[in-house]
Amino acid sequence: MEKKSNFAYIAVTALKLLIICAFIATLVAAVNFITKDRIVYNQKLNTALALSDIYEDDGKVFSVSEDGGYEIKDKDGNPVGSCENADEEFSDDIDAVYIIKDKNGEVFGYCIETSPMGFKDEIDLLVAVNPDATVKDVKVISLSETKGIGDKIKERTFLDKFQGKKEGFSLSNAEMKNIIISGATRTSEPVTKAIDGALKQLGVLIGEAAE
Amino acid sequence: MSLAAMFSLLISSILINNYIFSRFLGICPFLGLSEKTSTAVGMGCAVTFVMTVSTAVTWCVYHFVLVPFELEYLKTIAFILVIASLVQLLEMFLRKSVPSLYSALGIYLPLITTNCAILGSALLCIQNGYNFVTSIVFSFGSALGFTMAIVIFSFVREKVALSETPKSFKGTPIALVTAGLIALSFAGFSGIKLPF
Amino acid sequence: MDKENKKTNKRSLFSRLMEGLFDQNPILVQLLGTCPTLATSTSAKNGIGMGLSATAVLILSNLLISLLRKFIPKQIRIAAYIVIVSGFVTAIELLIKAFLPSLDASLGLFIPLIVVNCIILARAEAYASKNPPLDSMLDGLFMGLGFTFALGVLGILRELIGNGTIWDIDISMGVYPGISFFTQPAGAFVTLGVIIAVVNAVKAALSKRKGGNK
Repeated sequence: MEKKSNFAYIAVTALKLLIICAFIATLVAAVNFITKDRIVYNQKLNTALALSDIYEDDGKVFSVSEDGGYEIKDKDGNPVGSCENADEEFSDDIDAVYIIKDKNGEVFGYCIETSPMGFKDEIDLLVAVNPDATVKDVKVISLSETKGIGDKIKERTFLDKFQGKKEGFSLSNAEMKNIIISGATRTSEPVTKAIDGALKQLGVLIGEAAE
Repeated sequence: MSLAAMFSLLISSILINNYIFSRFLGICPFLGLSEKTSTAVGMGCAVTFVMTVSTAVTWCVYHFVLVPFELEYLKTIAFILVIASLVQLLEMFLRKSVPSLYSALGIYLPLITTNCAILGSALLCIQNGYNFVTSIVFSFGSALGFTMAIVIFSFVREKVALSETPKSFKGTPIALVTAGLIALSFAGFSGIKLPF
Repeated sequence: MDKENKKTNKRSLFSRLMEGLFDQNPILVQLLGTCPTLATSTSAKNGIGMGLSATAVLILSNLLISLLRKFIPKQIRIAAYIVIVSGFVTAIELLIKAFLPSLDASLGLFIPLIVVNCIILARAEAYASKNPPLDSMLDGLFMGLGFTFALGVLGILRELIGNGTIWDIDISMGVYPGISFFTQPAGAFVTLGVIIAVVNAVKAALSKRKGGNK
């Protein structure tokens, strides 16, 4: 008799916990359903804004297209090119490579999303590259480094140093010394290496396309 | 990941990115259980064990259950449940096998569940895209760093308790200021250059 | 216990608000939830953002736990609370990611870590599991405001001394270089310690004036 009631008690308790779990899971699933597109959009929006900033002088405005890629328009809103995702397997730190083409299908530039490990956590970078494989510009998309130290890598004085750099620049000690921020070595060094890594990856990609 | 990189990660998680002094994870037990060195050591050991095991388990849960079913957004819930059950197991084990440690840790043992260092460690490994082995090295190193911090802090607190402090600073305030000074010295480790 | 509860219910909302903000302030007096306090108070914006996110979770979880207080069996209550709290935290996290991405970028890991914020489980266990829903929601609101208040004060102080700015606006006209010690981890510990000491001193002075009744 007692055994039975004990069993019933456990069953009821477990059932109650299950109901609570199911309720919460439904709630979270519902919220996820509402927010998931928007979250993806937000992530892409940051990249699009950074790209628009980089190509501002060329009069190109980037926006997130409906299918989740990027659209390029001029200031009046007419499409002036395309941004294609080079869908390949890349090395660990590289998240995506985009090939930016103008109206006639000519390659206008490349854009690489890479996320090296900083001092604490991953840093999301956007490296824009000219068709001749030199760096056009670098942007920091997100970063959680120490305020006042690691976040110095966001400053233009640091990022401007990369403009015009070619693959392999980080192999030269003098070059590295010039670039790295003393006092924030452990953030600026991986960033520098990642930018070089992005160029290397791009070199492989361009080489493949040429063959 | 090479062996040298592993070693770098281990040292960096113990000293440079110390959970307490740099990432601010696990401050509650750090302040609550550091008055005596013996309890601090006990808590450190418990955290080391739970953190390493739970990170291993949560890594598997994430990569073998949540990712295949596209339920990544449920990771916080799944992880906290895994951690809570692990702590329960540890509690039962300690009560039976090491009653002295069990009575020393007292009410704080269930509180390991709400120790943000444990959940934080699990989430950080996923966020930083560590693989299984790296995750274990990282969480073990971080837990050692936590233990070291809490034990060092308890030594200092035992001394501070004997000295005369201004009335309004007695207890927690002076403990926090002390922790601040230790954190300052730990900040010196950020200058260490590790071979990557 | 019963007597105390009755007393609690009768007290005016104002005195309960004051209790949340000062007498029973979760951070300054009860010392709960110190991790997010120290980590996210680098600036006023971050501190208040964190405080309000935690307040939202606290109100919702207190409400649901109070509604279910007769339904949840005693033996599994902690497990049930954890599930409920982590559910709300995930929901809030997703909402912040979707609608306030800049807040998500600066708080990062500490949003999911609201789950293990001791304040939330402590209020669930100590208050919401024994009191009716409306009261519990108010309790969540007041405790949350107390949390936000302390985080805001800490954030403003650290940002002002550390960077010379308030809410990202430079108020020193670029004259003051900022003492970066205060925005770094060590500064967080020291600032919080000093604030708690000041609160203690003020309390001691007040109770002295009242004739030492407390």
